[in-house]
Amino acid sequence: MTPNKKQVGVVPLGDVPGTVLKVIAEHITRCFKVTAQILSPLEQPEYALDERRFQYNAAIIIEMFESMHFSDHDKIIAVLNHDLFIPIFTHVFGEARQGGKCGLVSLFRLTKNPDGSAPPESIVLERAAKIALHELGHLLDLLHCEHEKCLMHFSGGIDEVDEMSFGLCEYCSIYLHEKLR
Amino acid sequence: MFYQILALSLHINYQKTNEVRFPTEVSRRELSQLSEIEVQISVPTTLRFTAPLKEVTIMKTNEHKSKKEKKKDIGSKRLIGIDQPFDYKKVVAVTGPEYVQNLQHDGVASVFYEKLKKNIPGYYLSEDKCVWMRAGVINFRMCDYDYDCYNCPFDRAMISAMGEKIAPNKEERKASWLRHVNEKYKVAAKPCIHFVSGRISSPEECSGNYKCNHCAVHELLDKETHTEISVKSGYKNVSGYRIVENYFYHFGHSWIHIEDDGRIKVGADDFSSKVLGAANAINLPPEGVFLRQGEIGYVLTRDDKKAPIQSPVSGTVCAVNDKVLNQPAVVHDDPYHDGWLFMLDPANIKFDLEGLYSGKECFQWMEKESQNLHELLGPGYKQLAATGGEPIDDIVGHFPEISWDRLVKTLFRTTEKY
Repeated sequence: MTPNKKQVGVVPLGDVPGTVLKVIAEHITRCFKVTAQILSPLEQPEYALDERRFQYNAAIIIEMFESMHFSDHDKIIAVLNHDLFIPIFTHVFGEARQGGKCGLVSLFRLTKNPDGSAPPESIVLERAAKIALHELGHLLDLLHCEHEKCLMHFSGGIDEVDEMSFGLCEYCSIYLHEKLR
Repeated sequence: MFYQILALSLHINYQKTNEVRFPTEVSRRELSQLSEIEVQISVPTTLRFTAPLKEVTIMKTNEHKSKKEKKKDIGSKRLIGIDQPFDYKKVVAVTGPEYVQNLQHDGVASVFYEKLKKNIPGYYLSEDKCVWMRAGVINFRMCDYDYDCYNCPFDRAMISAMGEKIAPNKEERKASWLRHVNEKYKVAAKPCIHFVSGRISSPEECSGNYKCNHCAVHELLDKETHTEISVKSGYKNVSGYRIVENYFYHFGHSWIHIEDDGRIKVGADDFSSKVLGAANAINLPPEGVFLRQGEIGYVLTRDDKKAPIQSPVSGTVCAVNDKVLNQPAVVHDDPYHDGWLFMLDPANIKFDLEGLYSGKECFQWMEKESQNLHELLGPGYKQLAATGGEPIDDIVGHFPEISWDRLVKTLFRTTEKY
């Protein structure tokens, strides 16, 4: 992120609850110490729908965002209700290009527990915030971390997301600090 | 020679009569004990065991002839086993009559085997049968070498006696296998292991033939890293691919595990299983072949397409997993345990380990390989990092548009010769 443009835009794709967007923006501001603003919603990314899988291809959405111009925001976190995938993965909770411009957060699988039950709204919001921060970490060039509690640890299942903390490990913290300096 | 003659006579008996006339066979370890306790070895004392095995029947025994005697105390730990000739009076004088109460003077059991086993105080008997007995080659022998067949003189003698029968054209097969892989496949790249893991951006190629212990770059990086080798053997998830924490990994996607006896177990990692799916066939090196680290070690076949994989360490193949030869899908289903491929008697494991990943390095390398795999799908997938979900199974099967050759060259760093 360039020094004079340290702002993150949180963009809803389609009809996304305002509370989720606010929680994500607030966590970005508090945890990463960068300003986050909620931007106007964009249309659902129907162009990325894979009709065989009934899922949305995250790579296509990211490419679309990379071709768009956001004058006041260096990084974009887009949030949508639909199920995301990349071709070699069954699904993804979130996706971002390392050091790129746009990260995605899907709420689709965050509203269910591993046993199929529905979690309270506070848990869903917490999960969404963690995924958003994780993807923003990738946009800031952080890699996946081996420490299981670190925010940048790869989470295969929703239970692993719940175990993940909001904090970065020592090494990731130093790296992030360097990037934001 | 002594053992070879014994084993050969056993084998000939078996061939002629379809019965085992079992000469009293004395292992090298037992032999040394026996000589120390002044027991004369007179061979052959020929016994024949008939089924059921518990009912041991003595058909014929020879008298033992004393040749020379040395006077030494019999240590209380030096024990006599069944079916071994001994000087009854001398042993009883030291151990008391309880110790030999179920043995006749020539060491032959006078009660059922199971009862005997329970009634010999202090005498060590393995709880299971010799592999040759299990295979049905001999009628009766219990393992007395803790299944360390590799060092067991009886096993060596049997192999020698069986000769061509158990491994026809063994030498020819070894040579032919090496010729086959060397003619058809080659290593496509020799990248620096730290470049592959993304730790450094240069040098890209290894110029030292993977003698990492002599490499200045490796030494420099090694000082920076405090490698933590975990004692746990649970799975760890790296970008969706499982690794076992206390295994070592080669950049060509093989793992090794150092067994308790020092031998090296080799297998293919979860990443290769996910990418290639279930192999139709696996071409493993025959026992006795010497493999060098970085040479073609085995070949996975998927729908007539070959993926040659480099040997992770140097050593002589001492065992091959028959299960995966008969059911190659086991490698895919359980790559880290049942799906092991072969065992190596290592040549220089300390140096070879320098060229393998473990701990944090392994994590970084697998992350990089995950990104390399993404890139094969096209430029739009470059540098993508996902969270959530898991890689689909059989990636090459789902994406036939990915060139097989490119995939093998990129991820396994090998190629077929055309």
